[in-house]
Amino acid sequence: MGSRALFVSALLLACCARTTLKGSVVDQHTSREETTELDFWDGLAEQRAVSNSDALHALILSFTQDDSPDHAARVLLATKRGWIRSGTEIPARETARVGWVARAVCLETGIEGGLTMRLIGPRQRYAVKELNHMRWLPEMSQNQAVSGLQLISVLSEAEDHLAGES
Amino acid sequence: MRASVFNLLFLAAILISGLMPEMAAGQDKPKAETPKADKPKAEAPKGSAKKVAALPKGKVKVLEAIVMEVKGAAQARNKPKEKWRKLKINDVLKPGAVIRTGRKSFVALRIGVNASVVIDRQTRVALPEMVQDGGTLRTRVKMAYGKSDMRVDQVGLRNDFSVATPTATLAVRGTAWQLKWDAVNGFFAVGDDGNRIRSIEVRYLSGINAFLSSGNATSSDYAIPGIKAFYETYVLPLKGAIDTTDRGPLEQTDPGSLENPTLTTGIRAAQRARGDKTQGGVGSSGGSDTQDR
Repeated sequence: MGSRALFVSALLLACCARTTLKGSVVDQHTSREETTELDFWDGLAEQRAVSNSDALHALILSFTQDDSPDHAARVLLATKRGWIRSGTEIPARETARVGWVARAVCLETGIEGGLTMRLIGPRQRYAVKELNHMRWLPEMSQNQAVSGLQLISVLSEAEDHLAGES
Repeated sequence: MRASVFNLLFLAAILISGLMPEMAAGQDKPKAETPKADKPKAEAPKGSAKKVAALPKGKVKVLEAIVMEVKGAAQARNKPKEKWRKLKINDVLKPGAVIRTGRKSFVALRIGVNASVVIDRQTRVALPEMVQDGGTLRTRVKMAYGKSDMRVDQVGLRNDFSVATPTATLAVRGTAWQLKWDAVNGFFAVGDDGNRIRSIEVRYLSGINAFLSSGNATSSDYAIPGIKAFYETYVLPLKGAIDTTDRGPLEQTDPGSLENPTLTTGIRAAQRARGDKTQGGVGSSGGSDTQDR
């Protein structure tokens, strides 16, 4: 009985842990040249799950300019812009959560959301719900991983939104 | 009083001089009525590119895509292992070309003789096939993801234009639409942004027009170089690579080159067709050529 409980708890712990990816696209395409940037997007499109480092780089490229030399600098920039809370640990190779990506997109595009989001601010939970409603990230939840094509899709929608097209 | 009489005489003189030739023609020429059946049928104006001649059955001509406008980061390559090249206006893309655009970017193409495409931000598109097969214009576009505005014109031939996305294929005979494919919502087609495509076409034409109206075109045998430019650019480069067969097989051209020989070749083809023997054509003033810009 004891061993079974131990096995179940170990299984639950394993299920709760986030997947760590082996490589990162941004590590291969660091320079700011046009070809390198497009190579980064091409590489990102092939990723079934995007790492935190790649997601941060993609978001920074989309909304600001990425002069950050490494992951720590990107996390610092993300903290300054309010995408993630200060002190939050975001390991570079861990898969990115939909929650903080949605919060970053809502903050950068000026999406205010409904009553709850307006009252308590763009928390991850409500940012995801708002993007669910806008069909930028339909039927996705806060702790899900985001794929490369999904990230490109939501960033493209954000670009159209900022350009006044959607 | 004297002045008014003089004015009246002057007006009368003008009226008489205006009527005299008609009266004379009426007296001299017998009224020979030609039967209606013998009258030649009204032809489309020669400057219009709405009609494209069909090729003999079984003959296939490879067409090309011409870049009309580029904004931001847009690159292409003709073969899978080639290096990516930055696109610029008047570049030529051959069948098999792959195009990619970045953030806040787009590239507008005239594909073959019947289609205009605007490849929008964050899009990956391939053009595996662009041919005129007898009386059919066959174009295949593959869109991996992204957004594109497309318009297929009726040019007197059968259109066989299709766009393949990862989840659906759209085939059209002649219409305009905006197509979007992404991993979240999949295939999404809506009405086109027709004004955008047309404004790009006009900008492209006016860009060439401005060049040909400059000092390079002063030796034109047309009174207004811009008219000549419009005629030739509308018929030839914008409406497709009309003269690709004259340049021999595609392998003989520089495979890595995206430079556009169509502009010059097309103008010369038009001069040949018109029997224009003058050496000083458009862009040839001062020994320079259109491609030398």
